Amino acid sequence: MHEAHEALETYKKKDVNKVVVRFKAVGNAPIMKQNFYKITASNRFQAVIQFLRKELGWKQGDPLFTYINLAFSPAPDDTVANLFKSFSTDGHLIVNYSTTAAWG
Amino acid sequence: MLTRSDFDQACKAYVDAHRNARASGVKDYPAGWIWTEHPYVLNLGYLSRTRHLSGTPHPRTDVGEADDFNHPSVEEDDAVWHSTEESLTCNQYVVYSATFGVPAFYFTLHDRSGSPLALEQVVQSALFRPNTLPSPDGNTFAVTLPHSAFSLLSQGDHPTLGTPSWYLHPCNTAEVVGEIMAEVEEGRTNLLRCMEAWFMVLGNIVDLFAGE
Repeated sequence: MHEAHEALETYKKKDVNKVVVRFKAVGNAPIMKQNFYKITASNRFQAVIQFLRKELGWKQGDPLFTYINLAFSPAPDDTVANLFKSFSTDGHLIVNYSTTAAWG
Repeated sequence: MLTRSDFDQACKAYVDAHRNARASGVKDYPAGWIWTEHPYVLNLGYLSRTRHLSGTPHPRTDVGEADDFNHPSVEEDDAVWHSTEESLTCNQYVVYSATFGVPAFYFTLHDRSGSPLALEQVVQSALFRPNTLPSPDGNTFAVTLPHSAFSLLSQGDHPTLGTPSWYLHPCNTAEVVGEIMAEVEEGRTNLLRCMEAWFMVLGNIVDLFAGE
């Protein structure tokens, strides 16, 4: 019974575990006053993109591209937890963002 | 902006650096590209690879509610191969665009019988990340963003093979990759890094790990 309780507690903890994300502007993208944010790890990366859009005041159609460590573009369904585990540096996950339209 | 010779070097360096997909399954740099040159004309080299994507399943007819027919409901068995689900062959190429001095992404997409897909199906296929391309809106040969001078996705001949392909228009590529290279840490602004940055930008709309 005690083990079951502990197991449940562990899963509960996972849900609220937050990780630090650091946003870094690329090119002419607007720079935010605050760059470090704590985000719940179980979120999908899509939530980070939406959060960034809101902070920048960028509407849905405006071009916004996000990258991890200037290495790759994460899929919106990747979880923040997995990205953090594989790519964090110095305790935070670097998310670069650009507003330059890449296509057309 | 890359010269043709820069492009050749960059591609070869990339092939060497990212020969195989990471054993850990981490999806950062798309791997498995092959460098091919024209059999007798110089300076027409390109990268290529083939991927098999799962196609959009045709709408399945419902089995029907068990209550209506007094029959036990048929359970969906995941082990059964659904013949309505297509496997698409996608040939992907990275070629040098002489006009813009940058790499450009060309591809073909065929179904199992070898027929090329129509634009509408291409846009909705697993090759592209969902909701990244605008709808073709009845156009059958190109997809264009509003207020844009060039089509984003249109048809053209592969520069070396001469075969009909789809390609993503590279006119903004130099600017975007340039911006990224400006942020790259000192001492790493080499051709390989440039190629990696290009794949990173491409990865925004093309799912470079589909079919792996």
